[in-house]
Amino acid sequence: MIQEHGRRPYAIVQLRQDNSKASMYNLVGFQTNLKFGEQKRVFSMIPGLETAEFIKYGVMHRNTYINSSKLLRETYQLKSNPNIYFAGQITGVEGYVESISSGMVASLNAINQFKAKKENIIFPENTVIGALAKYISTPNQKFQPMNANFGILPELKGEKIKDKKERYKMLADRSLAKF
Amino acid sequence: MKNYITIIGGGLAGTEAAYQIAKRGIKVKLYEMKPIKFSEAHVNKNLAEIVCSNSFKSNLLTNACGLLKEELRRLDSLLINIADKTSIPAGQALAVDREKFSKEVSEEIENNELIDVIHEEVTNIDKMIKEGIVIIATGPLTSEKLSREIAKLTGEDKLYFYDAAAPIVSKESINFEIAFYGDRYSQEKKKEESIDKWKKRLSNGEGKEQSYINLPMNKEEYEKFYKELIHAEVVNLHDFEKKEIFEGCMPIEIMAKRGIDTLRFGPLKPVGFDDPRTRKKTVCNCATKTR
Repeated sequence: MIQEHGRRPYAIVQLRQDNSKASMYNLVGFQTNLKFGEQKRVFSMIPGLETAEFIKYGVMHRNTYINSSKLLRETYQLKSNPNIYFAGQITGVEGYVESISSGMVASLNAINQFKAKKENIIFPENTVIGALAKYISTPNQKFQPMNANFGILPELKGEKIKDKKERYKMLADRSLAKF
Repeated sequence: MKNYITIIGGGLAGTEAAYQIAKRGIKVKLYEMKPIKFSEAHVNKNLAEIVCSNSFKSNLLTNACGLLKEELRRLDSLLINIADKTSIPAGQALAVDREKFSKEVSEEIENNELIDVIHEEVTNIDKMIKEGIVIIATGPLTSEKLSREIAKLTGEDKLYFYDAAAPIVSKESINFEIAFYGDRYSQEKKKEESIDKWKKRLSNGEGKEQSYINLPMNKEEYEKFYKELIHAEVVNLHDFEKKEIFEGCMPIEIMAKRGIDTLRFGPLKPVGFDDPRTRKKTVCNCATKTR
């Protein structure tokens, strides 16, 4: 009997789904200490990644962060002790601007608590500030630091817009309408 | 309850929080261990010291980090305002003069009458917590003593992690003329499946098949990639990082240097895959064997 199938490739690079929406994929086994520019240059040589957009580069460094997905509320407040807030990269947000964003949310909530106001300051998930707060406080068995990216925002309603720029512009408009 | 809010750590998050709180008329005690003690990566005495790149990334609204900056501007973020003020030309990115940036933030915070900056290492947080609200913003290089305190507080046993992360790409940027979905072994063409059905299954990524995307390489592609990988430039690690780095997680470029085929027997192992780009006809003996 003659069977038709593909040939076994010489090598395979596997990408593993990295978020529940399946919009991001990590390169399996590619933890690396290469410079970012080199990662883009060398990893783009992998067939299929010629024009890949690197949402995050591989890094190797010591990083201290708590398991916010278990410990924190969306206000960056410790669930087990409401007098304590965390902010910055120790919460698992990654990057300068992301750290500032967490400092903003934690302080606004601390202020309300200080003034004995009951309401929490929770930014809508459609905003990047809100999406980051939501990301770090959502239960996640494989919690890992995250930087700002459109993959953590809810998708636009209605028909999918093919043009990336156009889509990002609409996501930006949707967010800024909240401010 | 004390008449102030305590912040531990005078980095980007801590200084922004201090400013926001003081702006609303509340006193702040901001603890910063520099210049009494420095982390492995910090070198100057300023608050909000920028340790890695001097880029705050894109300023475009069509970039998530650019959008985040705009959101923060609208909330009167001190740090983004100072970053804008101390920016240097960097195309579409917001890059800062790092000296000027940290200096301006330090001045703004230290000259604020409501903010008391205390230069000492915090090693016991229990007392502070009993006295009022505390924001812990001690960063990725939190001192060892404080890390232990935080671990106690959170009930976790370890707080240090080695970030040995692999790069992440967006799915929409992957070329699916080449890439195909499927798990090792289950991706192979099933006997009863027609070639067309098989290809359709791999390009749609039905259900749980979506969890892996595969990028096949032929010999030539692999060897070209290999050569560039082993000669690519690496980041210089701080001494403190060198000591422990290779315990659990070996960088791919180090593994590759062991031999040209090491990766093909490791993470790039092709076993269990059929490349739908190629076609091969084989005589199947399985039926006769079992007879």
